[in-house]
Amino acid sequence: MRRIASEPRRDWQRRVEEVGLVYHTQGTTPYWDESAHYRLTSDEVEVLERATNELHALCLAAVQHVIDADRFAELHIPELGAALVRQSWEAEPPALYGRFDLSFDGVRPPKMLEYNADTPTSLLEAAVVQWYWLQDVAPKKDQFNSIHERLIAAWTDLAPHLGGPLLHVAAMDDWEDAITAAYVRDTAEQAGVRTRQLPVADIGWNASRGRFVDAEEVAIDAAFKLYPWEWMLHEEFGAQLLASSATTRWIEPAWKMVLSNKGILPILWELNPGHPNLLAARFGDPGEMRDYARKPLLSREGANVTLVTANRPPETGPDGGYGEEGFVYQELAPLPNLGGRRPVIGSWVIQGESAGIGIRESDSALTTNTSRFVPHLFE
Amino acid sequence: VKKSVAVPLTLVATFASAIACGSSPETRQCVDGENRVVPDSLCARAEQAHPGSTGASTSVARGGGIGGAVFSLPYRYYYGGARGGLGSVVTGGGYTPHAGRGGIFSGRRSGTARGGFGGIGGGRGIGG
Repeated sequence: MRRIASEPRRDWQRRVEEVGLVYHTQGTTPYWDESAHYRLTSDEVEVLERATNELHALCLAAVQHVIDADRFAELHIPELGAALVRQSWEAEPPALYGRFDLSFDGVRPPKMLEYNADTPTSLLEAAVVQWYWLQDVAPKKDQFNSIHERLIAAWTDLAPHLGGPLLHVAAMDDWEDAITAAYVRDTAEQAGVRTRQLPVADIGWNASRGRFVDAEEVAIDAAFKLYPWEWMLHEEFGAQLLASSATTRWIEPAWKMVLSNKGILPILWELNPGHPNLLAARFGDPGEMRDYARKPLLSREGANVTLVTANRPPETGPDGGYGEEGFVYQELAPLPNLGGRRPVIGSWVIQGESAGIGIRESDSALTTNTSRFVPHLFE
Repeated sequence: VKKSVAVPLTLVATFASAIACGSSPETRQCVDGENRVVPDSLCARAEQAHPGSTGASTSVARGGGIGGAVFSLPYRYYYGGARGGLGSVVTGGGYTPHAGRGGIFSGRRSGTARGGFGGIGGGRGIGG
């Protein structure tokens, strides 16, 4: 895997905006960065694909273990959450996607950093924007990316299981989230599923009907939500989730909260010690680890994550108010350092199968919401 | 990887155009009387109590102050401007939604309870 400097398209801002990436620049810093690209070999792509499928299988087994061994308390998942996980695991409601974050240098096996299984972002960039970049700059090359096609295929499969003809899509009032939600709608509608978008705060609860409803009082049979389960559980409507689980199907389903929880990392290691795609991890304390990442169980976007190395001062991500729920300690997998840039592979899983990658890079060893998305190709 | 050359994105294009035209339909944050970002649920509840008052100031009593004194702060939606974290002060927008926003997010309110989701999310990112 190499990082190749390249000349940005002369009108790159317009080109990415045309396909929806209106949030391509954060302040004065490009979030979409095509002044370079990553070049992989087909063998490396196969390694990533195999590792992703393997890790997803391990994760499903880990969810089963958490349920069977009743380990919810270690994950700081309350009884309501545990009940929802059990219910959704049995009922098998629709599940669409997730994104592993992997450390990979093209030489050693990919290592799982975490699994964003509930509300992964950077979907449009990975599925669409980098594909159009490839068509413009190297149309004869290939890209590890069938995300768009697989999303459409997934909705085709899931359509009969949505409980009705209308899919609601709920997101926060935020450019990036709303565009991502719109993209998910596009893929669903191309599969013949009718959709309607609404802000999360506009979801209503009609007690007399015992139903979640939208702003027009239309019952929500199925909702794709860009809103984390652990937040839903602790909010006012959380109390209605279990009783309404037979009539409102949330996508992603509740069992994904087990996988998006950093507590899955020590459990995976405990179940599969020494697995080449896993890093040693443990609850409570770092044990004998010298170099490690301390991650809050529920952290997102690198918030409140601390990297501890023997020879340098600790490095901590932005404060997002996480940590009261407890921490896990994960062996540090140094990200490749390619000219001062540290790439993380975002490896997408659609309906349980590896579907492509997006690469975000940082100037530090921490990947946060200020990391840059850099396109890739393979040959 | 086999892939179709064209990836048609009708809805993404609609949202992107709205944003590019400055109507910024997606940026809506709940703020207090000093334009500090607060959880969205406070605005949603205020709207529920006063249907159709989008953009209007609504007072919600909050406990606080020395000796348990009670003061009131207005909560209302702030449209446009940069998205900030809880407690940050937003600028560059206003209290009235731009044209076009209503077509995407509008809906009449009824007796249905609203605002029961979305409160924690205000000012926090959902990404991984």
